[in-house]
Amino acid sequence: MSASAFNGVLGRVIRNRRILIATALLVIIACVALASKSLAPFDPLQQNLRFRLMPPGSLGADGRMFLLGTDQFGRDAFSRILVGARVPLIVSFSAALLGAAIGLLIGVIAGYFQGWIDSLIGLLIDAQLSIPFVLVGMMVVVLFGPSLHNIVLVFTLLSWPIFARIARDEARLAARQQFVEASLIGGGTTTWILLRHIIPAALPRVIVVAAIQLAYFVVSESAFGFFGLGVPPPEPTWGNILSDSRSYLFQAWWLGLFPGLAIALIAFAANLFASGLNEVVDPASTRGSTF
Amino acid sequence: MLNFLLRILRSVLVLLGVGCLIFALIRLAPGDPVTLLAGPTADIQTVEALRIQLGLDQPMGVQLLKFLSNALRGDLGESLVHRRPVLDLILYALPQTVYLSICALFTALLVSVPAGLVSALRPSSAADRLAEGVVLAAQSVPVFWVSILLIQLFAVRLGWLPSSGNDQWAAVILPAFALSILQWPLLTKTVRTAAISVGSQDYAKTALAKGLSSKRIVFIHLLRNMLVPIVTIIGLQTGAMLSGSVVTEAVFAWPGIGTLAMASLLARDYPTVQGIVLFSAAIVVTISIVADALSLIIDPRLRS
Repeated sequence: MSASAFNGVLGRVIRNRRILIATALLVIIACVALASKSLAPFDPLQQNLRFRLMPPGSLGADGRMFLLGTDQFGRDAFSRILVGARVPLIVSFSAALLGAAIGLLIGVIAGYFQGWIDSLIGLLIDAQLSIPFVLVGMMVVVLFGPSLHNIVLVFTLLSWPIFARIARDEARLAARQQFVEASLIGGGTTTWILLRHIIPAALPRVIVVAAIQLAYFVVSESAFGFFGLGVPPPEPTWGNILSDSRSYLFQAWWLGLFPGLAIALIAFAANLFASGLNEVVDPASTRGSTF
Repeated sequence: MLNFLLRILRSVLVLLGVGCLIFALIRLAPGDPVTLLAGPTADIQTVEALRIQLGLDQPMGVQLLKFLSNALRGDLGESLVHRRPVLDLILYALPQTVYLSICALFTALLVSVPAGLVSALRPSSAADRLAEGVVLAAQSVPVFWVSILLIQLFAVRLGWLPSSGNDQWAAVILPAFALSILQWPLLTKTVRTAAISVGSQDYAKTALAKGLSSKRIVFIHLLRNMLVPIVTIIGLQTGAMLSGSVVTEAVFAWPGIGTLAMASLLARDYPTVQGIVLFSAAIVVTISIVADALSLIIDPRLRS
Protein backbone atom coordinates (compact mmCIF):
# COMPACT_ATOMS: atom_id res chain seq x y z
CA MET A 1 0.00 0.00 0.00
CA SER A 2 1.47 3.32 -1.05
CA ALA A 3 1.62 6.32 1.26
CA SER A 4 -0.77 8.31 -0.92
CA ALA A 5 -3.49 5.69 -0.49
CA PHE A 6 -3.29 6.20 3.26
CA ASN A 7 -3.92 9.87 2.79
CA GLY A 8 -6.87 9.07 0.56
CA VAL A 9 -10.09 7.25 1.32
CA LEU A 10 -8.44 4.44 3.25
CA GLY A 11 -6.62 6.90 5.49
CA ARG A 12 -9.85 8.72 6.23
CA VAL A 13 -11.50 5.39 7.03
CA ILE A 14 -8.72 4.44 9.45
CA ARG A 15 -8.65 7.84 11.11
CA ASN A 16 -12.44 8.00 11.56
CA ARG A 17 -13.15 7.59 15.25
CA ARG A 18 -16.61 6.07 14.82
CA ILE A 19 -15.37 3.42 12.43
CA LEU A 20 -12.51 2.63 14.81
CA ILE A 21 -14.75 2.21 17.86
CA ALA A 22 -17.42 0.30 15.90
CA THR A 23 -14.89 -2.06 14.31
CA ALA A 24 -13.28 -2.76 17.68
CA LEU A 25 -16.68 -3.48 19.22
CA LEU A 26 -17.74 -5.77 16.38
CA VAL A 27 -14.46 -7.69 16.39
CA ILE A 28 -14.58 -8.19 20.17
CA ILE A 29 -18.23 -9.32 20.04
CA ALA A 30 -17.52 -11.69 17.15
CA CYS A 31 -14.52 -13.21 18.96
CA VAL A 32 -16.50 -13.63 22.17
CA ALA A 33 -19.34 -15.29 20.26
CA LEU A 34 -16.94 -17.64 18.46
CA ALA A 35 -15.28 -18.67 21.71
CA SER A 36 -18.51 -18.52 23.73
CA LYS A 37 -18.66 -22.27 24.41
CA SER A 38 -15.31 -22.19 26.22
CA LEU A 39 -15.76 -18.70 27.72
CA ALA A 40 -19.13 -19.46 29.35
CA PRO A 41 -18.66 -20.10 33.10
CA PHE A 42 -21.52 -22.64 33.14
CA ASP A 43 -23.00 -25.11 30.66
CA PRO A 44 -25.83 -23.03 29.14
CA LEU A 45 -28.11 -26.10 29.02
CA GLN A 46 -27.34 -27.39 32.54
CA GLN A 47 -30.55 -27.21 34.58
CA ASN A 48 -30.49 -26.86 38.35
CA LEU A 49 -33.95 -26.62 39.86
CA ARG A 50 -32.59 -25.72 43.29
CA PHE A 51 -31.36 -22.44 41.87
CA ARG A 52 -34.36 -21.24 39.86
CA LEU A 53 -34.81 -17.51 39.07
CA MET A 54 -31.86 -16.36 41.18
CA PRO A 55 -31.09 -12.62 40.87
CA PRO A 56 -27.78 -11.41 39.37
CA GLY A 57 -24.77 -11.96 41.62
CA SER A 58 -26.22 -14.96 43.47
CA LEU A 59 -23.87 -17.79 44.40
CA GLY A 60 -24.41 -21.38 43.29
CA ALA A 61 -23.88 -24.58 45.32
CA ASP A 62 -20.14 -24.68 44.58
CA GLY A 63 -19.68 -21.00 45.40
CA ARG A 64 -19.49 -19.88 41.75
CA MET A 65 -21.39 -16.71 40.95
CA PHE A 66 -24.37 -16.46 38.57
CA LEU A 67 -23.22 -13.13 37.15
CA LEU A 68 -26.57 -12.25 35.55
CA GLY A 69 -28.74 -14.60 37.60
CA THR A 70 -30.51 -17.77 36.52
CA ASP A 71 -33.63 -18.57 34.50
CA GLN A 72 -36.74 -20.62 35.25
CA PHE A 73 -34.78 -23.88 34.99
CA GLY A 74 -31.84 -22.65 37.06
CA ARG A 75 -29.63 -22.23 33.96
CA ASP A 76 -26.96 -19.52 34.15
CA ALA A 77 -28.29 -16.45 32.30
CA PHE A 78 -24.84 -15.04 31.51
CA SER A 79 -23.66 -18.26 29.85
CA ARG A 80 -26.87 -18.44 27.86
CA ILE A 81 -26.42 -14.88 26.61
CA LEU A 82 -22.82 -15.63 25.57
CA VAL A 83 -23.70 -18.81 23.71
CA GLY A 84 -26.95 -17.27 22.50
CA ALA A 85 -24.88 -14.74 20.50
CA ARG A 86 -23.83 -17.38 17.98
CA VAL A 87 -27.06 -17.84 16.03
CA PRO A 88 -27.94 -14.14 15.63
CA LEU A 89 -24.36 -13.30 14.62
CA ILE A 90 -24.03 -16.16 12.13
CA VAL A 91 -27.42 -15.33 10.61
CA SER A 92 -26.79 -11.58 10.41
CA PHE A 93 -23.25 -11.68 9.04
CA SER A 94 -24.02 -14.36 6.44
CA ALA A 95 -27.25 -12.75 5.32
CA ALA A 96 -25.73 -9.26 5.10
CA LEU A 97 -22.76 -10.61 3.12
CA LEU A 98 -24.86 -12.75 0.76
CA GLY A 99 -27.54 -10.09 0.30
CA ALA A 100 -24.91 -7.43 -0.42
CA ALA A 101 -23.09 -9.66 -2.94
CA ILE A 102 -26.27 -10.62 -4.83
CA GLY A 103 -27.71 -7.12 -4.68
CA LEU A 104 -24.44 -5.55 -5.82
CA LEU A 105 -24.17 -7.86 -8.82
CA ILE A 106 -27.80 -7.45 -9.92
CA GLY A 107 -27.82 -3.72 -9.24
CA VAL A 108 -24.59 -3.10 -11.14
CA ILE A 109 -25.85 -5.09 -14.13
CA ALA A 110 -29.11 -3.13 -14.16
CA GLY A 111 -27.40 0.23 -13.75
CA TYR A 112 -24.66 -0.37 -16.30
CA PHE A 113 -26.61 -2.01 -19.12
CA GLN A 114 -29.92 -0.16 -18.54
CA GLY A 115 -32.62 -0.79 -21.17
CA TRP A 116 -35.12 -3.63 -20.70
CA ILE A 117 -32.99 -5.52 -18.18
CA ASP A 118 -32.93 -2.42 -15.97
CA SER A 119 -36.73 -2.03 -16.22
CA LEU A 120 -37.27 -5.67 -15.35
CA ILE A 121 -34.94 -5.58 -12.34
CA GLY A 122 -36.45 -2.26 -11.27
CA LEU A 123 -39.90 -3.83 -11.30
CA LEU A 124 -38.66 -6.79 -9.27
CA ILE A 125 -37.06 -4.45 -6.73
CA ASP A 126 -40.27 -2.43 -6.39
CA ALA A 127 -42.35 -5.59 -5.99
CA GLN A 128 -40.14 -6.94 -3.25
CA LEU A 129 -39.84 -3.66 -1.40
CA SER A 130 -43.62 -3.28 -1.30
CA ILE A 131 -44.17 -6.49 0.69
CA PRO A 132 -43.91 -6.43 4.49
CA PHE A 133 -40.51 -7.97 5.23
CA VAL A 134 -41.26 -9.38 8.69
CA LEU A 135 -44.56 -10.98 7.73
CA VAL A 136 -43.33 -12.67 4.56
CA GLY A 137 -40.13 -13.73 6.31
CA MET A 138 -42.08 -15.34 9.10
CA MET A 139 -44.42 -16.99 6.61
CA VAL A 140 -41.48 -18.55 4.78
CA VAL A 141 -40.04 -19.80 8.08
CA VAL A 142 -43.39 -21.35 9.02
CA LEU A 143 -43.68 -23.00 5.59
CA PHE A 144 -40.11 -24.23 5.19
CA GLY A 145 -39.08 -24.78 8.81
CA PRO A 146 -37.03 -22.67 11.23
CA SER A 147 -33.55 -24.02 10.49
CA LEU A 148 -30.44 -21.83 10.56
CA HIS A 149 -29.89 -21.91 6.81
CA ASN A 150 -33.57 -21.25 6.05
CA ILE A 151 -33.44 -18.09 8.15
CA VAL A 152 -30.24 -16.95 6.42
CA LEU A 153 -31.88 -17.66 3.08
CA VAL A 154 -35.01 -15.69 4.00
CA PHE A 155 -33.04 -12.65 5.12
CA THR A 156 -30.85 -12.80 2.02
CA LEU A 157 -33.72 -13.15 -0.43
CA LEU A 158 -35.73 -10.40 1.21
CA SER A 159 -32.86 -7.92 1.45
CA TRP A 160 -31.08 -8.09 -1.92
CA PRO A 161 -33.41 -5.45 -3.46
CA ILE A 162 -32.26 -2.90 -0.87
CA PHE A 163 -28.65 -3.42 -1.96
CA ALA A 164 -29.57 -3.64 -5.63
CA ARG A 165 -31.34 -0.29 -5.55
CA ILE A 166 -28.27 1.50 -4.15
CA ALA A 167 -25.84 -0.34 -6.44
CA ARG A 168 -28.01 0.46 -9.45
CA ASP A 169 -28.01 4.19 -8.73
CA GLU A 170 -24.25 4.23 -8.15
CA ALA A 171 -23.56 2.15 -11.28
CA ARG A 172 -25.73 4.46 -13.35
CA LEU A 173 -23.69 7.47 -12.19
CA ALA A 174 -20.37 5.70 -12.68
CA ALA A 175 -21.27 4.50 -16.17
CA ARG A 176 -21.47 8.12 -17.34
CA GLN A 177 -17.98 9.00 -16.08
CA GLN A 178 -15.22 9.76 -18.54
CA PHE A 179 -12.85 7.13 -17.18
CA VAL A 180 -15.35 4.46 -18.21
CA GLU A 181 -15.50 5.93 -21.70
CA ALA A 182 -11.71 6.06 -21.77
CA SER A 183 -11.51 2.45 -20.70
CA LEU A 184 -13.94 1.47 -23.47
CA ILE A 185 -11.91 3.31 -26.10
CA GLY A 186 -8.75 1.73 -24.73
CA GLY A 187 -10.26 -1.68 -25.47
CA GLY A 188 -11.49 -2.59 -22.01
CA THR A 189 -13.96 -5.48 -22.06
CA THR A 190 -17.32 -5.22 -20.31
CA THR A 191 -16.19 -7.60 -17.56
CA TRP A 192 -13.07 -5.51 -16.99
CA ILE A 193 -15.02 -2.26 -16.79
CA LEU A 194 -17.55 -3.77 -14.39
CA LEU A 195 -14.87 -5.25 -12.15
CA ARG A 196 -12.36 -2.41 -12.34
CA HIS A 197 -14.59 0.67 -12.43
CA ILE A 198 -18.29 0.13 -11.77
CA ILE A 199 -18.24 -2.28 -8.82
CA PRO A 200 -15.56 -0.32 -6.91
CA ALA A 201 -17.63 2.84 -7.41
CA ALA A 202 -20.75 1.19 -6.02
CA LEU A 203 -19.02 -0.69 -3.21
CA PRO A 204 -18.68 2.01 -0.48
CA ARG A 205 -22.39 2.74 -0.34
CA VAL A 206 -23.25 -0.94 -0.51
CA ILE A 207 -21.03 -1.48 2.55
CA VAL A 208 -22.80 1.35 4.40
CA VAL A 209 -26.13 -0.31 3.67
CA ALA A 210 -24.72 -3.73 4.62
CA ALA A 211 -23.79 -2.42 8.07
CA ILE A 212 -27.28 -0.96 8.54
CA GLN A 213 -28.82 -4.23 7.37
CA LEU A 214 -26.57 -6.18 9.75
CA ALA A 215 -28.06 -4.22 12.66
CA TYR A 216 -31.56 -4.77 11.27
CA PHE A 217 -30.93 -8.52 10.89
CA VAL A 218 -29.73 -8.94 14.48
CA VAL A 219 -32.90 -7.21 15.66
CA SER A 220 -35.15 -9.12 13.22
CA GLU A 221 -33.63 -12.50 14.02
CA SER A 222 -34.37 -11.92 17.69
CA ALA A 223 -37.93 -10.87 16.81
CA PHE A 224 -38.37 -14.14 14.89
CA GLY A 225 -37.04 -16.05 17.92
CA PHE A 226 -39.25 -14.03 20.25
CA PHE A 227 -42.36 -15.23 18.41
CA GLY A 228 -41.14 -18.82 18.34
CA LEU A 229 -40.09 -18.66 14.67
CA GLY A 230 -36.30 -18.67 15.11
CA VAL A 231 -33.83 -21.50 15.56
CA PRO A 232 -35.69 -23.67 18.11
CA PRO A 233 -34.55 -24.54 21.67
CA PRO A 234 -32.52 -26.12 23.23
CA GLU A 235 -30.06 -23.98 21.21
CA PRO A 236 -30.16 -20.67 23.11
CA THR A 237 -30.66 -17.55 20.99
CA TRP A 238 -31.34 -14.03 22.24
CA GLY A 239 -34.78 -14.25 20.67
CA ASN A 240 -35.87 -17.43 22.43
CA ILE A 241 -34.31 -16.32 25.73
CA LEU A 242 -36.40 -13.14 25.52
CA SER A 243 -39.44 -15.19 24.57
CA ASP A 244 -39.02 -17.35 27.71
CA SER A 245 -38.42 -14.29 29.87
CA ARG A 246 -41.86 -12.96 29.02
CA SER A 247 -43.58 -15.34 31.44
CA TYR A 248 -41.34 -14.16 34.28
CA LEU A 249 -41.57 -10.38 33.73
CA PHE A 250 -42.72 -9.79 37.29
CA GLN A 251 -40.36 -12.09 39.18
CA ALA A 252 -37.21 -11.89 37.09
CA TRP A 253 -36.54 -8.55 35.35
CA TRP A 254 -32.92 -9.59 34.63
CA LEU A 255 -33.98 -12.29 32.19
CA GLY A 256 -35.56 -9.77 29.82
CA LEU A 257 -33.16 -6.88 30.24
CA PHE A 258 -29.71 -8.23 29.39
CA PRO A 259 -30.35 -10.15 26.13
CA GLY A 260 -32.06 -7.02 24.80
CA LEU A 261 -29.06 -4.91 25.75
CA ALA A 262 -26.79 -7.39 23.95
CA ILE A 263 -28.88 -7.09 20.79
CA ALA A 264 -28.86 -3.30 21.06
CA LEU A 265 -25.07 -3.23 21.54
CA ILE A 266 -24.35 -5.14 18.32
CA ALA A 267 -26.91 -3.17 16.35
CA PHE A 268 -25.43 0.03 17.78
CA ALA A 269 -21.90 -0.96 16.74
CA ALA A 270 -23.06 -1.78 13.21
CA ASN A 271 -25.01 1.47 12.91
CA LEU A 272 -22.06 3.45 14.24
CA PHE A 273 -19.85 1.81 11.61
CA ALA A 274 -22.38 2.77 8.92
CA SER A 275 -22.57 6.37 10.07
CA GLY A 276 -18.78 6.67 10.25
CA LEU A 277 -18.31 5.20 6.79
CA ASN A 278 -21.05 7.46 5.47
CA GLU A 279 -19.10 10.44 6.81
CA VAL A 280 -16.07 9.33 4.82
CA VAL A 281 -17.91 8.37 1.64
CA ASP A 282 -20.20 11.36 1.55
CA PRO A 283 -18.74 14.24 3.58
CA ALA A 284 -21.24 16.69 2.08
CA SER A 285 -24.18 14.96 3.76
CA THR A 286 -22.72 15.53 7.21
CA ARG A 287 -22.02 19.24 7.07
CA GLY A 288 -24.44 21.60 8.74
CA SER A 289 -26.48 24.52 7.46
CA THR A 290 -25.23 28.06 7.04
CA PHE A 291 -27.27 29.50 9.89
CA MET B 1 -50.15 13.09 -16.74
CA LEU B 2 -48.87 10.35 -19.02
CA ASN B 3 -46.07 9.75 -16.53
CA PHE B 4 -48.61 9.39 -13.79
CA LEU B 5 -50.66 6.84 -15.76
CA LEU B 6 -47.48 4.86 -16.47
CA ARG B 7 -46.73 4.98 -12.78
CA ILE B 8 -50.15 3.46 -11.99
CA LEU B 9 -49.72 0.78 -14.66
CA ARG B 10 -46.34 -0.06 -13.16
CA SER B 11 -47.89 -0.40 -9.71
CA VAL B 12 -50.42 -2.89 -11.08
CA LEU B 13 -47.50 -4.88 -12.52
CA VAL B 14 -45.74 -4.72 -9.15
CA LEU B 15 -48.85 -6.08 -7.43
CA LEU B 16 -49.14 -8.90 -9.98
CA GLY B 17 -45.51 -9.73 -9.21
CA VAL B 18 -46.22 -9.84 -5.48
CA GLY B 19 -49.22 -12.10 -6.19
CA CYS B 20 -47.06 -14.51 -8.21
CA LEU B 21 -44.45 -14.50 -5.43
CA ILE B 22 -46.96 -15.40 -2.71
CA PHE B 23 -48.56 -18.00 -4.98
CA ALA B 24 -45.17 -19.58 -5.66
CA LEU B 25 -44.17 -19.57 -1.97
CA ILE B 26 -47.02 -21.78 -0.83
CA ARG B 27 -46.58 -24.13 -3.81
CA LEU B 28 -42.80 -24.39 -3.31
CA ALA B 29 -43.11 -25.36 0.34
CA PRO B 30 -42.46 -29.01 1.09
CA GLY B 31 -45.66 -31.04 1.36
CA ASP B 32 -49.07 -30.78 -0.22
CA PRO B 33 -50.44 -27.20 -0.24
CA VAL B 34 -53.96 -28.43 0.48
CA THR B 35 -52.86 -30.28 3.61
CA LEU B 36 -50.99 -27.13 4.58
CA LEU B 37 -54.02 -24.96 3.90
CA ALA B 38 -56.45 -27.31 5.63
CA GLY B 39 -54.30 -27.50 8.74
CA PRO B 40 -52.91 -30.49 10.61
CA THR B 41 -56.25 -31.59 12.12
CA ALA B 42 -58.24 -31.99 8.88
CA ASP B 43 -59.33 -35.48 7.73
CA ILE B 44 -58.99 -36.83 4.19
CA GLN B 45 -62.54 -35.95 3.07
CA THR B 46 -62.10 -32.34 4.16
CA VAL B 47 -58.74 -32.14 2.43
CA GLU B 48 -60.11 -33.51 -0.86
CA ALA B 49 -63.20 -31.28 -0.66
CA LEU B 50 -60.96 -28.28 -0.04
CA ARG B 51 -58.73 -29.29 -2.96
CA ILE B 52 -61.69 -29.16 -5.33
CA GLN B 53 -63.18 -26.08 -3.67
CA LEU B 54 -59.87 -24.22 -4.06
CA GLY B 55 -59.44 -25.53 -7.59
CA LEU B 56 -56.09 -27.04 -6.64
CA ASP B 57 -56.86 -30.14 -8.72
CA GLN B 58 -56.47 -27.97 -11.83
CA PRO B 59 -53.24 -27.21 -13.72
CA MET B 60 -50.81 -24.73 -12.12
CA GLY B 61 -51.24 -22.03 -14.79
CA VAL B 62 -55.03 -22.07 -14.45
CA GLN B 63 -54.67 -21.82 -10.66
CA LEU B 64 -52.34 -18.83 -10.88
CA LEU B 65 -54.64 -16.97 -13.29
CA LYS B 66 -57.65 -17.70 -11.11
CA PHE B 67 -55.84 -16.57 -7.96
CA LEU B 68 -54.71 -13.32 -9.58
CA SER B 69 -58.06 -12.51 -11.17
CA ASN B 70 -59.86 -13.19 -7.89
CA ALA B 71 -57.41 -10.98 -6.03
CA LEU B 72 -57.85 -8.19 -8.58
CA ARG B 73 -61.60 -8.31 -7.94
CA GLY B 74 -60.97 -8.10 -4.21
CA ASP B 75 -61.64 -11.78 -3.48
CA LEU B 76 -58.75 -12.87 -1.25
CA GLY B 77 -60.24 -16.25 -0.34
CA GLU B 78 -61.63 -17.49 2.94
CA SER B 79 -59.95 -17.78 6.32
CA LEU B 80 -59.52 -21.35 7.54
CA VAL B 81 -59.84 -20.34 11.19
CA HIS B 82 -62.62 -17.78 11.08
CA ARG B 83 -64.49 -19.27 8.08
CA ARG B 84 -65.07 -15.76 6.76
CA PRO B 85 -63.77 -13.93 3.68
CA VAL B 86 -60.21 -12.74 4.33
CA LEU B 87 -61.04 -9.28 3.00
CA ASP B 88 -63.77 -8.87 5.66
CA LEU B 89 -61.34 -9.75 8.42
CA ILE B 90 -58.78 -7.28 7.04
CA LEU B 91 -61.28 -4.46 6.62
CA TYR B 92 -62.54 -5.08 10.15
CA ALA B 93 -59.03 -4.75 11.61
CA LEU B 94 -57.83 -1.99 9.25
CA PRO B 95 -59.20 1.07 11.11
CA GLN B 96 -57.30 0.05 14.24
CA THR B 97 -54.02 -0.24 12.34
CA VAL B 98 -54.59 3.06 10.54
CA TYR B 99 -55.37 4.77 13.85
CA LEU B 100 -52.28 3.32 15.52
CA SER B 101 -50.06 4.21 12.55
CA ILE B 102 -51.27 7.80 12.46
CA CYS B 103 -50.68 8.19 16.20
CA ALA B 104 -47.21 6.66 15.75
CA LEU B 105 -46.49 9.00 12.84
CA PHE B 106 -47.36 12.09 14.89
CA THR B 107 -45.25 10.84 17.78
CA ALA B 108 -42.37 10.29 15.37
CA LEU B 109 -42.76 13.81 13.96
CA LEU B 110 -42.71 15.24 17.51
CA VAL B 111 -39.29 13.63 17.99
CA SER B 112 -37.82 13.91 14.50
CA VAL B 113 -38.66 17.48 13.51
CA PRO B 114 -36.92 19.08 16.53
CA ALA B 115 -34.04 16.56 16.38
CA GLY B 116 -33.52 17.10 12.64
CA LEU B 117 -33.77 20.88 12.88
CA VAL B 118 -31.33 21.04 15.79
CA SER B 119 -28.73 18.93 14.05
CA ALA B 120 -29.07 20.94 10.83
CA LEU B 121 -29.05 24.40 12.38
CA ARG B 122 -26.68 23.86 15.31
CA PRO B 123 -24.23 21.20 14.14
CA SER B 124 -21.84 19.81 16.79
CA SER B 125 -23.76 21.48 19.62
CA ALA B 126 -24.69 19.50 22.73
CA ALA B 127 -28.29 19.30 21.51
CA ASP B 128 -27.09 17.93 18.16
CA ARG B 129 -25.03 15.23 19.91
CA LEU B 130 -28.03 14.30 22.06
CA ALA B 131 -30.32 14.12 19.02
CA GLU B 132 -27.78 11.95 17.22
CA GLY B 133 -27.44 9.63 20.20
CA VAL B 134 -31.19 9.21 20.49
CA VAL B 135 -31.50 8.44 16.80
CA LEU B 136 -28.63 5.91 16.85
CA ALA B 137 -30.18 4.22 19.88
CA ALA B 138 -33.60 4.16 18.21
CA GLN B 139 -32.06 2.52 15.17
CA SER B 140 -30.41 -0.15 17.31
CA VAL B 141 -32.97 -1.32 19.86
CA PRO B 142 -35.36 -4.18 19.13
CA VAL B 143 -38.82 -2.62 19.25
CA PHE B 144 -40.48 -5.69 20.75
CA TRP B 145 -37.98 -5.55 23.61
CA VAL B 146 -38.59 -1.85 24.24
CA SER B 147 -42.30 -2.68 24.21
CA ILE B 148 -41.82 -5.25 26.97
CA LEU B 149 -39.81 -2.76 29.03
CA LEU B 150 -42.47 -0.08 28.48
CA ILE B 151 -45.19 -2.48 29.62
CA GLN B 152 -43.13 -3.46 32.62
CA LEU B 153 -42.48 0.15 33.64
CA PHE B 154 -45.67 2.04 32.79
CA ALA B 155 -48.28 -0.69 33.08
CA VAL B 156 -46.94 -3.04 35.75
CA ARG B 157 -44.71 -0.94 38.04
CA LEU B 158 -46.33 2.48 37.79
CA GLY B 159 -49.80 1.39 36.66
CA TRP B 160 -50.27 4.60 34.65
CA LEU B 161 -51.21 3.08 31.32
CA PRO B 162 -53.00 -0.09 30.15
CA SER B 163 -50.65 -2.85 29.02
CA SER B 164 -52.66 -4.20 26.08
CA GLY B 165 -55.84 -4.12 24.05
CA ASN B 166 -57.67 -0.94 23.04
CA ASP B 167 -60.53 -0.66 25.53
CA GLN B 168 -59.40 2.70 26.90
CA TRP B 169 -58.26 5.71 24.90
CA ALA B 170 -54.92 5.75 26.75
CA ALA B 171 -54.15 2.24 25.49
CA VAL B 172 -52.85 3.70 22.22
CA ILE B 173 -50.00 5.61 23.92
CA LEU B 174 -47.53 2.78 24.53
CA PRO B 175 -47.94 0.96 21.20
CA ALA B 176 -47.88 4.25 19.26
CA PHE B 177 -44.67 5.29 21.00
CA ALA B 178 -43.07 1.88 20.40
CA LEU B 179 -44.10 1.86 16.73
CA SER B 180 -42.86 5.42 16.25
CA ILE B 181 -39.30 4.49 17.29
CA LEU B 182 -38.85 2.73 13.95
CA GLN B 183 -39.53 6.00 12.14
CA TRP B 184 -37.19 8.25 14.10
CA PRO B 185 -33.91 7.61 12.25
CA LEU B 186 -35.02 8.09 8.67
CA LEU B 187 -37.44 10.89 9.49
CA THR B 188 -34.82 12.81 11.47
CA LYS B 189 -32.30 12.41 8.67
CA THR B 190 -34.87 13.61 6.15
CA VAL B 191 -35.75 16.67 8.20
CA ARG B 192 -32.05 17.43 8.64
CA THR B 193 -31.18 17.08 4.95
CA ALA B 194 -34.23 19.10 3.97
CA ALA B 195 -33.41 21.87 6.44
CA ILE B 196 -29.85 22.07 5.13
CA SER B 197 -30.84 22.16 1.48
CA VAL B 198 -33.72 24.59 2.01
CA GLY B 199 -31.61 26.70 4.37
CA SER B 200 -28.95 27.26 1.74
CA GLN B 201 -31.47 28.55 -0.83
CA ASP B 202 -31.30 32.19 -1.82
CA TYR B 203 -34.63 33.15 -0.27
CA ALA B 204 -33.46 31.89 3.13
CA LYS B 205 -30.30 33.99 2.80
CA THR B 206 -32.41 36.97 1.73
CA ALA B 207 -34.65 36.53 4.76
CA LEU B 208 -31.59 36.37 6.98
CA ALA B 209 -30.03 39.38 5.26
CA LYS B 210 -33.10 41.55 5.65
CA GLY B 211 -32.95 40.92 9.38
CA LEU B 212 -35.60 38.30 10.08
CA SER B 213 -34.90 36.25 13.18
CA SER B 214 -33.68 32.67 12.70
CA LYS B 215 -36.76 31.47 14.53
CA ARG B 216 -39.07 33.23 12.10
CA ILE B 217 -37.15 31.92 9.10
CA VAL B 218 -37.31 28.37 10.39
CA PHE B 219 -40.97 28.36 11.27
CA ILE B 220 -42.35 30.48 8.43
CA HIS B 221 -40.05 29.65 5.52
CA LEU B 222 -38.16 26.44 6.11
CA LEU B 223 -40.77 24.11 7.56
CA ARG B 224 -43.21 24.71 4.74
CA ASN B 225 -40.63 24.03 2.06
CA MET B 226 -39.44 20.93 3.86
CA LEU B 227 -42.88 19.34 3.52
CA VAL B 228 -42.21 17.72 0.14
CA PRO B 229 -39.32 15.47 1.19
CA ILE B 230 -41.07 14.66 4.47
CA VAL B 231 -44.31 13.66 2.74
CA THR B 232 -42.34 11.57 0.24
CA ILE B 233 -40.43 9.74 2.93
CA ILE B 234 -43.59 9.05 4.92
CA GLY B 235 -45.06 7.53 1.76
CA LEU B 236 -41.99 5.38 1.25
CA GLN B 237 -42.03 4.31 4.89
CA THR B 238 -45.56 2.87 4.84
CA GLY B 239 -44.21 -0.59 4.11
CA ALA B 240 -41.76 -0.46 7.00
CA MET B 241 -44.55 0.84 9.21
CA LEU B 242 -46.83 -2.07 8.30
CA SER B 243 -43.98 -4.51 8.84
CA GLY B 244 -43.23 -2.97 12.22
CA SER B 245 -46.86 -2.99 13.25
CA VAL B 246 -46.95 -6.79 12.93
CA VAL B 247 -44.52 -7.09 15.83
CA THR B 248 -45.71 -4.10 17.86
CA GLU B 249 -49.41 -4.95 17.59
CA ALA B 250 -48.73 -8.55 18.55
CA VAL B 251 -46.83 -7.54 21.69
CA PHE B 252 -49.54 -5.08 22.80
CA ALA B 253 -52.43 -7.27 21.59
CA TRP B 254 -53.66 -4.25 19.60
CA PRO B 255 -56.57 -5.59 17.52
CA GLY B 256 -55.27 -4.46 14.11
CA ILE B 257 -53.95 -6.14 10.98
CA GLY B 258 -50.60 -6.95 12.62
CA THR B 259 -52.18 -9.00 15.38
CA LEU B 260 -54.48 -10.66 12.84
CA ALA B 261 -51.44 -11.51 10.70
CA MET B 262 -49.42 -12.90 13.59
CA ALA B 263 -52.32 -14.94 14.97
CA SER B 264 -53.11 -16.33 11.49
CA LEU B 265 -49.46 -17.15 10.93
CA LEU B 266 -49.13 -19.04 14.20
CA ALA B 267 -52.44 -20.84 13.51
CA ARG B 268 -51.17 -21.79 10.01
CA ASP B 269 -54.09 -19.89 8.44
CA TYR B 270 -52.26 -19.36 5.12
CA PRO B 271 -55.10 -17.83 3.08
CA THR B 272 -55.37 -15.04 5.64
CA VAL B 273 -51.61 -14.44 5.78
CA GLN B 274 -51.42 -14.47 1.98
CA GLY B 275 -54.33 -12.05 1.78
CA ILE B 276 -52.75 -9.68 4.30
CA VAL B 277 -49.44 -9.68 2.40
CA LEU B 278 -51.22 -8.83 -0.87
CA PHE B 279 -53.36 -6.20 0.81
CA SER B 280 -50.33 -4.59 2.50
CA ALA B 281 -48.48 -4.48 -0.82
CA ALA B 282 -51.52 -2.83 -2.40
CA ILE B 283 -51.59 -0.22 0.37
CA VAL B 284 -47.87 0.45 0.04
CA VAL B 285 -48.01 1.10 -3.72
CA THR B 286 -51.20 3.14 -3.39
CA ILE B 287 -49.77 5.35 -0.68
CA SER B 288 -46.59 5.90 -2.65
CA ILE B 289 -48.71 7.08 -5.60
CA VAL B 290 -50.74 9.32 -3.28
CA ALA B 291 -47.52 10.71 -1.76
CA ASP B 292 -46.30 11.55 -5.26
CA ALA B 293 -49.59 13.25 -6.05
CA LEU B 294 -49.41 15.18 -2.77
CA SER B 295 -45.89 16.36 -3.61
CA LEU B 296 -47.24 17.72 -6.88
CA ILE B 297 -49.93 19.60 -4.98
CA ILE B 298 -47.55 20.98 -2.35
CA ASP B 299 -44.85 22.01 -4.83
CA PRO B 300 -46.23 23.17 -8.21
CA ARG B 301 -42.68 23.34 -9.61
CA LEU B 302 -42.61 19.54 -9.75
CA ARG B 303 -45.55 19.41 -12.14
CA SER B 304 -43.66 20.22 -15.33
